[in-house]
Amino acid sequence: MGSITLRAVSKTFGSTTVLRDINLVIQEGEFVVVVGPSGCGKSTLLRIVAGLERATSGHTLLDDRPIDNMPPYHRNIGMVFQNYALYPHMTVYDNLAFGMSAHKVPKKEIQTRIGQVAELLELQTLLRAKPSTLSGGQRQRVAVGRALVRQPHAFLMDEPLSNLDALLRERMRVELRRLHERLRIPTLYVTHDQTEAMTLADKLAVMRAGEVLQVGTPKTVYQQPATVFVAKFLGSPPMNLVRVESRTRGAMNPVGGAEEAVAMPAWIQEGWEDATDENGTIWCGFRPESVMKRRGPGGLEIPITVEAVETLGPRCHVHGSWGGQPITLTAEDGAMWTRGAVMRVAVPWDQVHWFHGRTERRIEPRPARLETLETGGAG
Amino acid sequence: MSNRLSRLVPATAETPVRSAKPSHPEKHWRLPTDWREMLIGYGLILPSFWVFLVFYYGPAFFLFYIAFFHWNIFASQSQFVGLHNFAILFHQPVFWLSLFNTAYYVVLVVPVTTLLALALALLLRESAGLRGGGVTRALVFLPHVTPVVATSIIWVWIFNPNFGLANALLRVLHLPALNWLASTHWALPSVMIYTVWHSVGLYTVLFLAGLATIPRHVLEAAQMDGARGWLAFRRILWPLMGPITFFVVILVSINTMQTFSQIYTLTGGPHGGAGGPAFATTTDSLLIYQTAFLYLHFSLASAMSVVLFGLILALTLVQKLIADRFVFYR
Repeated sequence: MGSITLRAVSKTFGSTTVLRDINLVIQEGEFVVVVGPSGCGKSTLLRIVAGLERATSGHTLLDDRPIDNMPPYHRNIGMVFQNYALYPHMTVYDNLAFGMSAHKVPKKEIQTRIGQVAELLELQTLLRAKPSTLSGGQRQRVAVGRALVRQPHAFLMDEPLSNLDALLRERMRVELRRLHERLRIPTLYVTHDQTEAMTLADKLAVMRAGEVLQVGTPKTVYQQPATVFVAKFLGSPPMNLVRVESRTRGAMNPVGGAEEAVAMPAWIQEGWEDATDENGTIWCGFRPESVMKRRGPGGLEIPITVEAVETLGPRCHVHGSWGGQPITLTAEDGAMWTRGAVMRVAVPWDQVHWFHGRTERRIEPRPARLETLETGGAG
Repeated sequence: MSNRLSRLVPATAETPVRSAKPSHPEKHWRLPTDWREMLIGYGLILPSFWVFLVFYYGPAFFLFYIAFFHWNIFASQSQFVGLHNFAILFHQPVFWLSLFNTAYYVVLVVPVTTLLALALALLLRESAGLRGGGVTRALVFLPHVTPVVATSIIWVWIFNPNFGLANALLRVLHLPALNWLASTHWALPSVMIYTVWHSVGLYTVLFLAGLATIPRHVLEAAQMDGARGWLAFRRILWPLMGPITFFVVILVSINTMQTFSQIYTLTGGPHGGAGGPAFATTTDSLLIYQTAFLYLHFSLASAMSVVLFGLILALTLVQKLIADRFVFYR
């Protein structure tokens, strides 16, 4: 068992910067998911930890020992590849045994360990089969087993579920989480799928264009997204984000909207000038599920023009607009929303998110804001 | 006709054209579609098929015919003699010597060429990202694009016992000088050296192509599993290269069994004496050439060709049997 620390890791290929100053810690027993759109550098990050790629600068530590110059075959880290990368010419048994025989583990012990892993992953009946005869889910389990059987210090998983169909993916996701609960091997898991990220992670790192935007528990990241990108990336349907401007003091409108202005909290008004971009706008965001049909005491009260209603069984998605900007909200009863009608809805102030108009960073109400200033930065 | 041709490209425009004129179906009697396609296909290959038939398969089949006849290029009639030509052949010591020389040549050239090409391919793959990698690849392949006869003449100079590069190299290494092509011991190995030099680039490129088909992730998985060096090669890379290795071995075998030009040029050329000294470099194909075109015993030469054909066929079948057991196809 161990921990993995990435300290100021950067990677450039020629003149392209793939990773910029990455700091991330995977504690003992922790399941850390790196999530981001494709091309954000998350796979490169994983490959640096694996030793398949060298960082241009910065350090990787395994149990507080730097391993930057250690070749992958000495790191004892198990990796599950996106396409499984099983040895096609070997049986499942030999696939599992290969790593151990490379490390001169006695034959007897190889047998015992494969027996254990096969039982854990229900591979007993497949041991004599070749990978080409297995289904996607079975191959996936063999790939996990191959990484597991060597009793690695840590696990790396590179989008291990993305080649499975939707149903199987869901099942394997639960199985992976269950496995982690049992074994508690520190795991670094890379995915672009936000559902996988939210459900699997103890700790989430959201990446974009080679930078980690936010690290935190899925709950924290969901409830207090650090930037506009994080806010949009997690959640389905995604957070409503509206650029607002203030034409009269204490009130705001969606940019370009002709509707009446709505009130804004005093602390936003106070800091307004510091938070706007060159056009005098800032981002105002709220999650679809935060919207309430009835008016509460205080909160963001806005008129929404209903344009379409999608029913999804227990609840429905209402698509509409506020001052010409698209708004989605979730509701329980679709019948209450009529197309073309203007409905007044409310969002409690504590569920409204504010982001800087230019930097797109989160703006917190005063007390929390002072706190972040004192600790030296967001995230 | 444009309608027919359009069927050869994937997007077919046939159906709308046909539905546009549904009338008079009986006036436009047509062959069934698959028949028409077959006829068009054969029609298109017909010209090159004729060339092959007349200049390639024709002589090849004719060879089987005259191998069993007493046949003279100047006489109009020929006489069936059964296996008589083969009987003569098997009583000729030089025929057996040529078989021995061919075997000696093949047994050395095939493994040396294959292993050297494999080693070069692995080295070139390692150096793929380095500066000058492309130039090195080109340099390795370059000998293969040179004409055999031209470079053979250069190698005659290299092998010159008095002022050739080969002996100069031996002197640098403090080894005794050799007579190379003039020595009965070293003449055939000299030809082997030339052949390996000339052909190894082609097989290196084939191996490189084979290496490129091996999924990178599988090799990386092996690295993560702790395998490297010889172990990674023997257990992962080599088995996955089975199909391409088998292909290269077959190709090298067939090509070496038919080696002619370099032996002819290196050991005698047009001035005669090829195959020497003292038949040391007389292989099957050289003996066939000499018997047919120097001594004009076409029937005898044909019988030899039949024997050579049988040997190549047998060798390939044996290799195929071995490959079926040991080569893993994905």
